[in-house]
Amino acid sequence: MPCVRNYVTTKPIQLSALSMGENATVVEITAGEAAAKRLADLGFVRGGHVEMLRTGRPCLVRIGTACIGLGRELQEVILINRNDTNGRAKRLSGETT
Amino acid sequence: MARSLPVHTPATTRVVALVGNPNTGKSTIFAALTGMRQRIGNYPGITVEKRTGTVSDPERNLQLEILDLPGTYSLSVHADDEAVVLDALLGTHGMGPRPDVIVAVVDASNLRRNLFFTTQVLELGQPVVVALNMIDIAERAGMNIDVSALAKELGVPVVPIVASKGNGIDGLRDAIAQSTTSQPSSRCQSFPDCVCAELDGLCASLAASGDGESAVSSRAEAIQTLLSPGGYHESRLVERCGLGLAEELAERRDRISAAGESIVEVEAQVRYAWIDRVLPGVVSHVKRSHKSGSEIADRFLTHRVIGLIVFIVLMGGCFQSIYAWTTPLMNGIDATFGVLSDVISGIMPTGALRSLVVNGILAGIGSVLVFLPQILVLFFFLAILEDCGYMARAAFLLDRWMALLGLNGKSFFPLLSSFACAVPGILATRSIESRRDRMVTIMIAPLMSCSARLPVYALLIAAFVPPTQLLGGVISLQALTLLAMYSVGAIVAIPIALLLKKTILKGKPQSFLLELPTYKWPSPRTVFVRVYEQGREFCVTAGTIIFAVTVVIWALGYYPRPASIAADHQTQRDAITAQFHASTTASDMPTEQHDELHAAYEEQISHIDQSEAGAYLRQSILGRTGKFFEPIVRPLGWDWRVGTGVIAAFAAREVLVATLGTIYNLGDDQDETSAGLREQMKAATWEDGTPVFNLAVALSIMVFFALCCQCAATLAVIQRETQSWQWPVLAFTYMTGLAYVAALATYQITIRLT
Repeated sequence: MPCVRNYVTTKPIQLSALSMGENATVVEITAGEAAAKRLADLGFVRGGHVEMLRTGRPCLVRIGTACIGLGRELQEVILINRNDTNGRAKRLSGETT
Repeated sequence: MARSLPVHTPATTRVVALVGNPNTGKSTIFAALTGMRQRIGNYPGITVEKRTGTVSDPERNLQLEILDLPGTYSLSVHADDEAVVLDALLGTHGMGPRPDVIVAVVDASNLRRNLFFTTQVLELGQPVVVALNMIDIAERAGMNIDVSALAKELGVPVVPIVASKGNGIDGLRDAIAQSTTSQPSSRCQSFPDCVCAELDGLCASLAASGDGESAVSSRAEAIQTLLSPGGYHESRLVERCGLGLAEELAERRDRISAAGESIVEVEAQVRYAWIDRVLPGVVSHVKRSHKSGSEIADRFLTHRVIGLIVFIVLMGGCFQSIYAWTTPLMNGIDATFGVLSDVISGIMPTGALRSLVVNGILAGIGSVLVFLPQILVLFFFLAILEDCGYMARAAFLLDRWMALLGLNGKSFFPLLSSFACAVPGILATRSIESRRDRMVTIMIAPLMSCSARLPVYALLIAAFVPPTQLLGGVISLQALTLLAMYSVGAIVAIPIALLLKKTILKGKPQSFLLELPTYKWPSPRTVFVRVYEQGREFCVTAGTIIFAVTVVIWALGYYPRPASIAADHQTQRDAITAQFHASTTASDMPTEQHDELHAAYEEQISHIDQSEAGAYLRQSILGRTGKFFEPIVRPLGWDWRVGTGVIAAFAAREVLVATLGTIYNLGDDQDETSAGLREQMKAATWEDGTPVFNLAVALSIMVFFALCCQCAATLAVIQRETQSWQWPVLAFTYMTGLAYVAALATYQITIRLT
């Protein structure tokens, strides 16, 4: 689904660039095949929404209803677009109100 | 009385496989269904072994054989424990027949991620029942799940359950029994056309190679083979069908990429898209509370500083309680065995048999069983921490510290399990994806202080470390020493792991990836089962291996019994008796003087008895062997008795305590009441009369035990897991060498400081 309000974001950034509490949309996974497959199966796919719960190595993100800890290398291969901080992130988890 | 029974045809056996994501309560469901005792882990890799249990359903004349499989997020295999799931579901690689029914366990509070795996399972072509577990947690989080709508979308029965409370288990059992008679249902996801074409093509060529798989499961297998490059399916199929398949796969993948689809992402996109379309009609959100309890707890417990402090305080508390809670119980067990051996000494005639029972069996087993309370308390804490979900947080917190070892946080689970026992710890390494990381973890796991070392520490600390209170009574010096002994192995593991990573197991650590499950109250049943199983195992070991070794050690220490020793001592005894009688014949001797003489006489006799027992022991095979090895262990501050005990303990560590119990009892005056091993060790002296044991010797023995690989079971499991002799030999050599050097240093330094 194309993002209409794309003006906020310009270039995809690494997941590690997010601050605590920020929401983002996954744009691309640049990992090797095995790691990319593993991330994808856990829900890190293009268009997936993530929330940064705790920054650092490893960081803690929420994807859907799951809480996942990710090491530094994996944070660097997940490229995201920061969501509009005013608009509430629309989750793919069926939590849409 | 004779009531004719209705004639039954033999019950039909159905194989039921339990699968699901990690932390969905699969093992709890398994235990609730089968009533079988079963260990439950809160992290991937703990239930790596095939576990089966049977339920009979006489009404339907069915016998259900239930198979508990490791938790996995996907059918595409990344780690060894996931390969077990796949083999079991496909009935390949000697995992037995394909299951007749698959029960997909789903965490209701985390439906989206769980359904990904469920959709994969649905495509296997076997009848599926979905067990919707933890609906209570989902409801508390404000989710309302329409179970019938979910069943309709999935096309299979969905049974809501709360496994921890046993709710819905009957319904699940019925659903399993019914679905075995219904037709297999399958709902396949529609992939983009370009992918579909390649999948159909691959299916066709797999069918042409004719390996007898059913068409539907071939499709499921084709998906995992085509869309998971370099994965387990691919290598397995290439092995089976030859290199032509590898080329075919490469071509098909190129065509998919050319059509603009991502090989590794397309499956997740298709499945999650379907789930996201279905979920709004299934889940309605009543009102999501702003922050759940889990999130609030994680604010502190995963905090880099606060979380680490909490972790250290928790661990310190555990060790302190192991000491504080168990002392009365241990004293009780000690006293019971003391009374028991007194009673038996009283009723049995003197001789080899009484010596075997009292000095061999009772002394040996008693000295080990005394530590049962401490082991139970240790496992009680581990089970609670595991069951409530804290272990994953600990792994998260410690990832950056594990990075110091060149490993990631995932190695923390196996290493922590190794503090209980290295054998399950090494089995748990199967969830580590990187082979190098796994090997390093296996090599350092035996350094973690396992529960078998606890008896050794406990004995020596209680006897030789003063119970001084530190920090105003918060922690005692004894508890601190125990903590230090537990840390020694872990600290030494750091340079060892780094060395392995720099030399024979070079490679970057695998990046950390781990789900943190929602916190829940530990289920008393799970905790009880875990503690009970470990306690039982400890008693069985005490009753078998330790029993056998004790009897052998007793025999080696009892025989041979040269007649010359008995004759020598008898001559001495006779001389003293004669002297005593001669000096007391004077009729006018006052009673006090007579009593005094009699006491002196008794003392002399008892000295002779002790020297006789000591002479026998030194003459025995055990004594001579120990003496032979004494020059080697002397620099560590040990006498030959300790040396003998340590050698005997190479089969299993607990043997040391039992062996010392036997040796000290044999060398003791046998008519004396058993004063307990601790007192006997305090009283032990070198030939010149100086005590054998002091703080330096105790520390040196403990350090040796902390670092030495004295466990046949561990070496055997390393051999089995690595499929080579090189690794167990390496583990044994480096640990024994390290233990000797460290014990030497400990003794030589402590003896100069004290």
